[in-house]
Amino acid sequence: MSDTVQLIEDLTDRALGRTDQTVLLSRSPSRAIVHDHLASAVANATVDEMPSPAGRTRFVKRIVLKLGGFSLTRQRAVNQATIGVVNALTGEIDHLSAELEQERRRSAAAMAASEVALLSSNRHNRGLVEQLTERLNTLSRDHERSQKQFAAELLRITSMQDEANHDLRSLVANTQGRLEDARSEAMADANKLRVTERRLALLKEQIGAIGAPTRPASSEAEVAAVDELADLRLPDLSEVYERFEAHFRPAGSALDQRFAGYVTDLEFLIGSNAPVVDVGTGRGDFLAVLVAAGIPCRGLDMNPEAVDSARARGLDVAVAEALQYLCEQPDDSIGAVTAIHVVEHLPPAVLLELIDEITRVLIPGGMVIFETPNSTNLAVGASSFYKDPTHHRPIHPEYLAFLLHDRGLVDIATRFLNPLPEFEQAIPSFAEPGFRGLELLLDDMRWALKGPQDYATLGRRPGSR
Amino acid sequence: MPLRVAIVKPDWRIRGGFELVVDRLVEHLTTHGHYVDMLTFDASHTDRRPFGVRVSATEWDRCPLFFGYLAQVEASRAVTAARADLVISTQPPSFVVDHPRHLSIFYHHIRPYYELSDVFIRSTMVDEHMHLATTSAVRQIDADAIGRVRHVMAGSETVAGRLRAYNDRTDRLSVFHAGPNSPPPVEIAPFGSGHHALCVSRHDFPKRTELFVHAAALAAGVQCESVGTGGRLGYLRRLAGEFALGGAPPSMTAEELWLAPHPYIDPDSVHVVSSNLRLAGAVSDDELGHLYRDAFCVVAPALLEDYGLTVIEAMSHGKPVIVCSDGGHLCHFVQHEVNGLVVEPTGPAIAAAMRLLDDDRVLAARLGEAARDTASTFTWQRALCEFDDALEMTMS
Repeated sequence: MSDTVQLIEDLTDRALGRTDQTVLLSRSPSRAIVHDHLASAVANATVDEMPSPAGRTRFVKRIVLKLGGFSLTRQRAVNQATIGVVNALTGEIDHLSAELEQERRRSAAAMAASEVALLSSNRHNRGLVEQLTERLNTLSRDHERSQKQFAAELLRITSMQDEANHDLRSLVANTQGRLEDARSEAMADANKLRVTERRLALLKEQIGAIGAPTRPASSEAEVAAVDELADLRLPDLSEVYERFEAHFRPAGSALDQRFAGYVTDLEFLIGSNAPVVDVGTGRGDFLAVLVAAGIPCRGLDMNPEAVDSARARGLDVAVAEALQYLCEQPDDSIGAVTAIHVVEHLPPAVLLELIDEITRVLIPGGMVIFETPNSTNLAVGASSFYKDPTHHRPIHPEYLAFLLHDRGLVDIATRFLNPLPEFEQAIPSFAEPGFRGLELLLDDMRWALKGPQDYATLGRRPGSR
Repeated sequence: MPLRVAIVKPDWRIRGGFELVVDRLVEHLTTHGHYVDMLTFDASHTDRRPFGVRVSATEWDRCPLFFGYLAQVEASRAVTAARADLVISTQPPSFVVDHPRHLSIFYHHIRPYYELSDVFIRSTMVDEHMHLATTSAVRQIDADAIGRVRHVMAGSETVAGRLRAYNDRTDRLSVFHAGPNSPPPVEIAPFGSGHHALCVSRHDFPKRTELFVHAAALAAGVQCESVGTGGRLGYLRRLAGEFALGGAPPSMTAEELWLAPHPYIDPDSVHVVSSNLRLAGAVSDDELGHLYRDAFCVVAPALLEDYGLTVIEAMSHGKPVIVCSDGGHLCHFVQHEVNGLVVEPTGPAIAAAMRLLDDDRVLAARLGEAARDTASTFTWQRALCEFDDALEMTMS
């Protein structure tokens, strides 16, 4: 029951966003010091009954004492009253101390009673433990027997597997050879096709010149076949993508400003051993902003050209596939994982696996930040999203938020980012009641065409930092 | 200026009186050119990981209402209403939504943690220790969230009083008086006419239809009609049968009659014994209209009600209403011996009041006429003006 009450209190704190509280205990003054001062005050209280002065100036002192005698008498009264008050207070303190002591004893008695109950429970538990140990021993013996059987079976399976692997390797080598042959043949066919197409074009020109009807355009199937063949000769995209990024996403102060919000989110990691891991870091624009803010960080990217660029800026970046990298990290070791325009490159199942791994490696209270194109903006969802040839599919903000919550993260928040400048322009108001719908429609269109280009979904691993 | 209004509403998969109120407000907003976006979430969803903490089945079963409430708090907070010019929250805990222009239509708290807390403990339906712990927790969470709401529109003066008492909400607090669900009847039966006493209520804890059943058994000469469905209908039918066969004891304690928990009884499995009481269950709107017209009084025995639309409906038919002195907001509608009778919450007291109105039809006519006047002040026109005022205060 008390566990449930503790759980209720813990959940209430979480619901209210309360952090750990520190209880400050007041420290009482040392009774010994009070006692010494009081003794000294008592000894000197009777200021008008001091021994007769002695020495060479005793006559002067006697005269002064005689003249000021009435004031010393009053001082004695004040001193004695003060001592009385201090004594009364000390008594009160003693009384309270006694009460406290009594309360402490009462608590100790209650605790002792609990301990008694615990001991009795322990006795019962010991009996249970003995029974369980016996059962465990029996199970261990059974287990040993099973293990030996299992080892024999494993040996048999391993030898079968070796045979199968050998067959498979032969098959793969054979298939690869045939695939290479087929590819060479296909490329040769494609070359022949291009030559044929050129000849056909020349023929068409000649036929056109003599006024004969032209041949209809190639069918879709023919076009697709040619495209497929052309794909076989596609160069590696990495180098092109590096130039694509440089062309469409220039670095600079605008980016610094864009990332400023995330810096505030991640400031809690300053001085921490748990770094930010920025997945798909590219040329390291975001990483550079984090470094400038003093936040420990590391970047990952699969594109070696991009990693070279980032390293040239003095950033800690590795060529790595994010999921594999995170799988290799221990639990509770990373302060935050950020992925700026990454998740839209991933198939849904990989995204799910990525979130699960992030949830595992984050420290309690650690953050995840995903920024991705805003598919609720039609201009983005229907057009600009596809400008990047490596994009997989747009991700709806509500799905991403749901996914983070479903995989156990909390404090999920969605931020819409980077609207076009026209988004801030006011929509003209239509006074006529019949046109109010038009005004709302314009507002919808403003969002759909000029609204936030991106959004960020943030989540936090449960627990305090 | 048309507004983009987001209405946040937990979806309980039922359509009751509150859903009808929301429909009216949506219609009002769209008629005035505003754009309304309904943001709902499944309130029956039981994700057993509120705020990232996995709650074991054992712990969940100790206080399911509390853990369910936390899951709803989390779901309400996850609602994205950033694009809205104005957010209107509805049933608890949708008021935890964070928005700078947030109007809460506050009809009730989670009642077992507030005005019914003590009743639930006395009923032994909850473990006292757990209930006190969860009550404290819910009140802390609610007070924090209600304090952030820009404007709160309470469903009645009684609810506004509870907001002040429990949540320390004193400013930017107004009251909304919903009109009746169906338009008031144009033609009504003559004041003081009728041949039965009527009770219209859900048969759930703590609506206390048991008191009406007890009263019917004690007032043998008075024909009694009860309309409504609910988890306690089977129990009420069995109780009525026992009273009809063995006679009703003149005094039964509340604990015996309505406070103690009773196992669910299938209403169809109970043999109906012929008596002066008919427990009709659900009836059509037309049949309900006839039952109101042919009633000489209407009994509303519920405990600590937030509002009481059925009482306004009864009054609009020109019928005096009998309510209990602990009926909450029902006692705001009914003034004793002015437009109805306010009696002690016991079967004998209700039986005596029914007999009085049956025997003294002049009194019944006078109270019924006054009741009709009272009901005429509760209109949707007035309610929508109050709503518009609250909207303006939220936007200011």
